[in-house]
Amino acid sequence: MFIKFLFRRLLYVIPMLIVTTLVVFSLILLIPGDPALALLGDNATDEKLAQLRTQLGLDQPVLIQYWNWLMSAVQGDLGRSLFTGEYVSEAVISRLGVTFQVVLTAMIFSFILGMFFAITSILKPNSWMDYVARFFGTLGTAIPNFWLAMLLVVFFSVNLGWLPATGFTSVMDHPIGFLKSVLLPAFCLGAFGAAQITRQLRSSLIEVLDSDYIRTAYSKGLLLWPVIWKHGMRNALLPVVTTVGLMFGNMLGATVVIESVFAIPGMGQLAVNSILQRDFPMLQGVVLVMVVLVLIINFITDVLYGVLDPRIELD
Amino acid sequence: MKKVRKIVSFVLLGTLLFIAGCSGNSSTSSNNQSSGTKDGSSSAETSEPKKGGSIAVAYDSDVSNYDPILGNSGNDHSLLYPVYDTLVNYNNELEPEAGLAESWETPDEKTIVLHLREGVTFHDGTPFDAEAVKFNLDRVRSEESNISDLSSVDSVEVVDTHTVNLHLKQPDSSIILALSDRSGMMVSPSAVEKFGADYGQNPVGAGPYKMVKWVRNGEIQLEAHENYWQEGLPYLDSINVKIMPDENTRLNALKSGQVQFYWNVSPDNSQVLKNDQSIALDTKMKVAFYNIYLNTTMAPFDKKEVRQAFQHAINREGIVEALTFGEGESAYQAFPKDYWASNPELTIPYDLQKSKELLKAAGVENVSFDMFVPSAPFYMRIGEAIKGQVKEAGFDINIEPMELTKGVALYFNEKQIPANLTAWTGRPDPQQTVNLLLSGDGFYNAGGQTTDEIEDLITKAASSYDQKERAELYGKINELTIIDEAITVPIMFTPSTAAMTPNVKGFSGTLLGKPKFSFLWLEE
Repeated sequence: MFIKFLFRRLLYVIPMLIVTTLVVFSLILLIPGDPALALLGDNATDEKLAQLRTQLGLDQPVLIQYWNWLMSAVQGDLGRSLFTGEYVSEAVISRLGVTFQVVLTAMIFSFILGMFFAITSILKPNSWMDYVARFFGTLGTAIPNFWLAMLLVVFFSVNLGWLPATGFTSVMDHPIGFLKSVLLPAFCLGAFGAAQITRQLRSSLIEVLDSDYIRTAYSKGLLLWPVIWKHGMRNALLPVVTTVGLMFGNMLGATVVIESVFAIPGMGQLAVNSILQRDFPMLQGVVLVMVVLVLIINFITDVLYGVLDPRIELD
Repeated sequence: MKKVRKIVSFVLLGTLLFIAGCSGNSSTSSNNQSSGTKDGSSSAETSEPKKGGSIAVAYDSDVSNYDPILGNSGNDHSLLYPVYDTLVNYNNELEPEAGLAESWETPDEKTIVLHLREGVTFHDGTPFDAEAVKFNLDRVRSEESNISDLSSVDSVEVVDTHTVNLHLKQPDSSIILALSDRSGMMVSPSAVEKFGADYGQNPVGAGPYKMVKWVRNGEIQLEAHENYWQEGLPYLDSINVKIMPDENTRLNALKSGQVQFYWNVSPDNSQVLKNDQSIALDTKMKVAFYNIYLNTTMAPFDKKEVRQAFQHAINREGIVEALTFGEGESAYQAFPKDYWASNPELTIPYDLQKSKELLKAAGVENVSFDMFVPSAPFYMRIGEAIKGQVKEAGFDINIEPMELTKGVALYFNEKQIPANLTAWTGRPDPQQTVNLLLSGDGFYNAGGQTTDEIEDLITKAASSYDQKERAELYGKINELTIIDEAITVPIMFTPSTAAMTPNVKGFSGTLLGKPKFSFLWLEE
């Protein structure tokens, strides 16, 4: 049953990939500004431009260009950067590790903070704890992440000197250094998510805890915490899982800003620079990897539904 | 219920105070130390340079390509200099000095003889000799190259192991200083052969540092080249360049001690940092300037009087004062005052009356046109200021904010918009500037406006190798092109500023505005 489900999901992924990469490919070509011009600068004569366009394959129809790209991509060859000449696959993979570590930490942050605030707020509805939790729930949604990032850097890095203002250390190289370097960016990236989870979980917990079976559980003599954890949470988490799945895509997008503020050499920075330089193969590579990541997360989300709620059938 | 409200309002108040506290602290931390004066520049060396140590440098953009003939960004040079020594060097005032070529002479105006330094090796041990120079200069002139500075070179002749003759198609005085630019960056011929298309990832030069690690848009690690030809140099064991496009990020990195040097301080920040004792600044005017390019074949700038009227309708002093706190310099020609090629007498007075009369003479009273302005804050501020100023003379500018690559293509390549407020990024030799910006077939003279007199002067300047004579010619060319013909509208020169911790020594900015990190040293 499960294998069949997996197989079917994977089948969906293939057309999805083709459609998204084709759309992205066409969108990239719609960005005004020609990479040949960007490359040549003031040395651009008409002959040189024409020659470079032929060399880069830019004079071919879009569909042919896409087809050529797709055929090499299937064989694992994503081409080379138009500018630095480095292999796209190498560049993207080296950045992926960085961004993935940051985003994953941010997700953990969001989840822990979101759970904490949601639970504190439903313990005593309309108490001061509830108000504080709801306040942060609104604040997290309202504060722009780059602004929060700048404030935190000024306070924790420049004034107190506790955490580095910029840069990134991989968890593989130096776990303590990793924690220090990832704390601020992950917090800024996760603030919005934490607020979303707080709001989502709070309302669904309130609904669940109000239902008959919870009253039954209480009347059987169960204590508050076991009721919340065992009976309440599992049912209340379902909509949260959806939120978390969507959040992942949002966070990947938000890394574009956060990586710039903290000078983290990740996918976001790579994407921005590739757009500014019109480095099409690089940009296409970045987008491809991001799309694959989002598809994987959606897949995991779907599987999690089934784990959390056996009533949902996996077919 | 009352109690709850009280608590909630405390929490809210506390959060606001926390936020206010954060932002307040940032400005006081740099102001409260503003007691007394400081010399501001670390270039004034008081003690002997010391060997050893390493520093981290924050730079605003990554190298577009580590192969000098393929890169396309003017910001690359600072990151290429440590790896590649050039045939010719330039001093702070942009005059040529000996580099890998110890000396040169011009027996006739179409021959340049380069005498090469002996005992120099590339990082990979390949000897630097006349063959290597020929290999490099031929490579610069080849099809795959992105450099056009040596287009007047006809052939490169190896005379003996340490002498090279450049035979020119026509006289070209810009070649010497062009050899301090990308064209003169010597790459190891054996490395080019070995790495082929991957050379850009494995650069090998004869400079003071080897590039050992490059994380694109992340960092570049440079390690000292132990066999560097200059005895005792470089001082530092290694330099770690961190790429940080955002200035706030660079500033925070400096203040929190992650880097000891950061390049490209904005005028706003330099006002604040001036009073900070824990940071030393180095400010130097540069040859780059903000400029409005006019397409002289498109209305309304196809009329000379309209262009002249536009020149006189701009209050450059006002812009310098308001936008750079007086640190900039009004631009009435293509060269700043400190530069040897500049003509100190040229000026374009701000004169609304004259401007209106010129417009009347052209038979128009109100002129409106589109102008491309890059959608970056500083450009937009200049654009808005000019729009406001020229309105009084009868010009109505419609600002078209666009992303840089798109706008530049629209103006220079597609020629779809008559005016373009961007910048002239400067070149080491004035002849390069004149050729590209002011001559009739220059890429940046989009309308191709010129006169016979101008072209004659440009040819004459190209065939003179005497600095004084050249300076006079450039003065005349500037007068004819910018004041008489008004083919382009210079606005202002702005200095470039580096910020560093006070123990970083040995830095001095140059007129080219491309910082050289190679010979910095650390004071204990």
